[in-house]
Amino acid sequence: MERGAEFPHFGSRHAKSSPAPRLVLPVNPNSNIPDFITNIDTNNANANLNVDANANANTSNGNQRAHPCIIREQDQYMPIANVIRIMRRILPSHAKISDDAKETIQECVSEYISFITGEANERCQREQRKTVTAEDVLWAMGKLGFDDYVEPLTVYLNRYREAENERNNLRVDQLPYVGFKRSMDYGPVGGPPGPPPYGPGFPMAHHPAMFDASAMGGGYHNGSGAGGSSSSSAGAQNSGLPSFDPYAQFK
Amino acid sequence: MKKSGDNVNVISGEAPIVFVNACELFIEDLTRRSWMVTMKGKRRTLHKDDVVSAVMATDIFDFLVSLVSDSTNHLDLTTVKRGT
Repeated sequence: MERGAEFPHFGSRHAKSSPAPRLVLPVNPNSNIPDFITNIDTNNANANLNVDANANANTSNGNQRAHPCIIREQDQYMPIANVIRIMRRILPSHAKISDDAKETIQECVSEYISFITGEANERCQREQRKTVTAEDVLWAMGKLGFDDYVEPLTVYLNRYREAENERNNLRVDQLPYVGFKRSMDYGPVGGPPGPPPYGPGFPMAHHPAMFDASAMGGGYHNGSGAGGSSSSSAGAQNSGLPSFDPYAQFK
Repeated sequence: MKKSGDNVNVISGEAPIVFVNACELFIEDLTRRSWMVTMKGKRRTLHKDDVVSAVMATDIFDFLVSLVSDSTNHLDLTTVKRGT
């Protein structure tokens, strides 16, 4: 039976685990795991690590902590559905995965996170820094033998940073035709020098430095004019640009 | 669960981004190695024992050895573990 992420019971998993929950209890002075590890939001289908310390205090599924000292299973491990999905990417379609294999890999992922984070954290403490950065994490991976991961992760991180910069740097004044003829029909994308086809809801999707949004795990969605992540281009979509003169820079 | 004290660190916004992808790479790596063990045994179902064998056979997964052998594992580690 598939072990769901919603069960509040702790069952046989805890009987099998080592006495001290690996991620959460602050009993091991040698592994000062940052608090975010204790708050992995399993309600988030993308398995993003939740930085908010109170996120799990009130879960949407209504689970309550049975006892202040008991760690919920879903707080210790990555959501199993996500783990399984990633496994299936690797395996041929005819392959089957036993339940205990799934759970084992799920536990291994959590241990991996603890392992890397502990090392990164130690480095920060040695250097008397309070913030564990992405570089620390990458350094820890290299040090612990996961060199093969470092390069693809660095590429990914750089692309992510560039996408963030683009998002942050795109200002309304950099868009030559924003606000012009908002009621126009959609036209060709790409902003050649000419009347703009940036109608409402049409994101600035053709900036040359932009990467595929889906690869970045979110961001620009074609046609979703109200998307929060398109904040910089939202200016193009909102009907309120009262004092903007699109041709100011051409005067 | 929040710890208090001098050893509390903050994590930057980008570090979880790295972890998300790193976890995927890790799962893929471990799955691939485990599947190779499964195939060697001419099976189509990936069992926990295959994962255990993959862990034992890979140096960088040494940190997982105690984890996978903690649970009800009937493998004799001296026969499974390759020379390290």
